Amino acid sequence: MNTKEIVVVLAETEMAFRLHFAGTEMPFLCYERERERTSVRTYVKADLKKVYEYKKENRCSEWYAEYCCLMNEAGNVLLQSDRVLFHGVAMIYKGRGYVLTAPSGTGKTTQFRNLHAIYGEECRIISGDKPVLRRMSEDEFWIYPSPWNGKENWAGNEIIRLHAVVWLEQGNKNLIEKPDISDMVLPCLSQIIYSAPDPRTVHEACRMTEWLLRHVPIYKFTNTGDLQSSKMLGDFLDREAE
Amino acid sequence: MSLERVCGTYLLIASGDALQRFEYVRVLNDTGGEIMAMAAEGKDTEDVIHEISILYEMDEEDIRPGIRSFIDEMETIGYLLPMKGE
Repeated sequence: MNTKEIVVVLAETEMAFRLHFAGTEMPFLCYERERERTSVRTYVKADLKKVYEYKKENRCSEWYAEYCCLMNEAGNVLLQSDRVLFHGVAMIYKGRGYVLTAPSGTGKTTQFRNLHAIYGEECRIISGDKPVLRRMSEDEFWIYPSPWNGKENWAGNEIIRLHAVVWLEQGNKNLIEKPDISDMVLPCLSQIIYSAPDPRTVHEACRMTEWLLRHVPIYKFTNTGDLQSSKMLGDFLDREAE
Repeated sequence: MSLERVCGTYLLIASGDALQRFEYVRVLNDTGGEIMAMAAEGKDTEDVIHEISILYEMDEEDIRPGIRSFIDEMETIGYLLPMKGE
């Protein structure tokens, strides 16, 4: 099978994707760098067996299955350089960077949609599904966009310092809490996108989780998912930033 | 399997081929984490019981059944190979 190679830059890390199917390159075009301008040494490709399994389970095209399977492989590479592909909606709210995170179906997209409806352009998207978080220093993470933006394909092109993470849970009333970080270890670790290929990469994922939890505020927002809940979140983020 | 400690929480994490046989991550309490760490260092069951008794200032006979039960569970699941001293 012929492969096509494109060099992609994610959060200022270069990697060469080896693609099997025509069409897979489309979501990566915004991140492509000319081969001649790079010194890339890292190669990423999806496991074909997993691609076909994904295609069968999700009834999608081969190129889309490959595009999705590449996420985990890219996640593995990013972990080697203080970066992590993280499941969540990354946004800029009133000039500060936030990630709303939770398992799929909890309401991340709903909360962002509501916030954007209330605050307009004061609330903008960076990534609708899987931003890259990059550890810039001991206590500083920055948010970068990525090619994986979820069903809505919400994507931005800005980068910003990560101010806080908000863990969402569904509930029948609205409550924002500051949880004990030990309670957020498993939730945060489970939101890191990678394939856990070996103990070394697992260790990097754990290290990033520890740094994130120790240096970035994390809040737990149990919410009803309506506009009122999003207004409450916005008001809280305003007070928290003061 | 990797034993990791994140923000004070012990985690047993599967990787590679182990993901096909084990759940990705299992949280351990402090004692369980300490036992697994000692096992990873090659200590046998009696060494583990002795060290835990010192750590928690408890009588070895009082903690022996609980520690043996935990080690048995870990061996049954496959997280641990049979330890010496059994």
